Amino acid sequence: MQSPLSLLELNQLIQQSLDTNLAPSYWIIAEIGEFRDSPRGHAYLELVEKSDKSIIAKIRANIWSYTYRGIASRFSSITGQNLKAGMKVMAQVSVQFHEVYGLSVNIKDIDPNFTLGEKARKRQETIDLLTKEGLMDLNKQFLLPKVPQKVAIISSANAAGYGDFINQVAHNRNDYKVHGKLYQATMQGDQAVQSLIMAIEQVEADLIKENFDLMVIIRGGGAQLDLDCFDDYQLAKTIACTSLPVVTGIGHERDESIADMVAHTKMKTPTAVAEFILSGFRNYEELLETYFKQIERHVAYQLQKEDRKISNLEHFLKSIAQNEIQRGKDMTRMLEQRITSQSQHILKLKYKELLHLDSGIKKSVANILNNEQSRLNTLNKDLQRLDPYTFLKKGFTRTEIKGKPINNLTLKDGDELITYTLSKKIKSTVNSIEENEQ
Amino acid sequence: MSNKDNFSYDKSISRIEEIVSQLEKDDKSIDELSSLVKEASTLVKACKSKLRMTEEDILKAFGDEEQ
Repeated sequence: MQSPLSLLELNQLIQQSLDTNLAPSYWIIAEIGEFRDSPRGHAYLELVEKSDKSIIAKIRANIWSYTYRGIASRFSSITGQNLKAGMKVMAQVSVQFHEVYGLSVNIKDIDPNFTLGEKARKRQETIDLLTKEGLMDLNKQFLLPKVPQKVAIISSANAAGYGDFINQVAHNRNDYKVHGKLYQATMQGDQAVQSLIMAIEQVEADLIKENFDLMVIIRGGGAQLDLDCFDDYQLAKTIACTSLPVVTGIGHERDESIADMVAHTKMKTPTAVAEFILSGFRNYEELLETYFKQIERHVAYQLQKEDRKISNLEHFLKSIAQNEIQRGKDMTRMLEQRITSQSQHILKLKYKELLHLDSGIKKSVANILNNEQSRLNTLNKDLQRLDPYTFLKKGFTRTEIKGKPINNLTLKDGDELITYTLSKKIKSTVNSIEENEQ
Repeated sequence: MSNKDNFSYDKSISRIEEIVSQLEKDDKSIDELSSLVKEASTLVKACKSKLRMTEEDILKAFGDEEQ
């Protein structure tokens, strides 16, 4: 049986074996399991290797302060972040064994380019997962509101970017009114992801009450450090699954974060987000103006059409009226001719009648006059016949007694007679009376 | 004129006829006869003239109408 060794002897043996068999340094790939700074400026870490989230290897590590200062500044300038737990690194280490403190590695160098590549790989993994889950374009399926008037703003009240956004929106040329409500969130660092997710969930909770049209996530200013939160899977998933279209304005230093990619629209800066929202207003106003112009054109066209219709009707009516008038004129002319010819006919008849009457009257008058004439002539002849001078002229005489013709008297002797001749008046006395036998 | 205006053909004719019948009775003195005959012949003249005038008037009136 081998004689027993003291613990120190064993530990020294381990140390010698390690020194003999191991190279002075190795490049290893490991994940930082724990990380803490010491007051003296050293860094104490735990390096782990995982397989399906369970640790399959683990070792303590340290970086002495002098080395740490150089490594840390180079690392953050290249990767944009500080060394921290959860990060995969490629480190140059030398294996140490201390009799009291046991096995550890001393980190001499860390290759930031590995971490950068690792970060890109992780990022790609996140993108692939989101794509596989159909979350990459989910938010893009929303139609942007025509006029986003109520906007949920996820930002930090102290961020310069938030001020830029508010200022740009408030002082727009067209005096558009955008109502924004701020949901405070930590926009960088370790707490950012959780804080952002909570803020988004709060917006979701207020959605019905506030009636939001749009969500914006904005930050600006600040270091480019710690923007990794916007590459986080959970945050990306939360953004993709919101009930509102999301517009990001996270910062312009880097190309594109995963948050930008899952958002509906990505703008570089908060000012650009404000301008984007305002451009929605402007587009809508221009659209309205276009509609107004179209309506105006249409109305003008319709008016013109109606005008033409009316004037056609007017012409039509005019021509109908003229036709009617012409017909009326023709009719009256015809009636006039008929009346004229009829009246001429009647006149002719009446004239004939009149002529007939005239000649009748003339005849009657002539008859009457003739009758009267012959009556007068008869009377005149009677008068001439009865005129005493007519028979006196012929040598006859007329004898009277006391003014009475004797032929009607009874004569006696001694009666005094007066006998008239044409030129003489003879007085005589009756001597004898005898009968005339002749 | 007034005599002419008052002249009545019908009355004149009646008077003439009355005179003729009186003359035919032959119971008047020669003086009376004479004056009766004068009156009658005056009336006859007047009546003739009236007839002539009437004819003229009528012809004239119808002549005017024809124009």
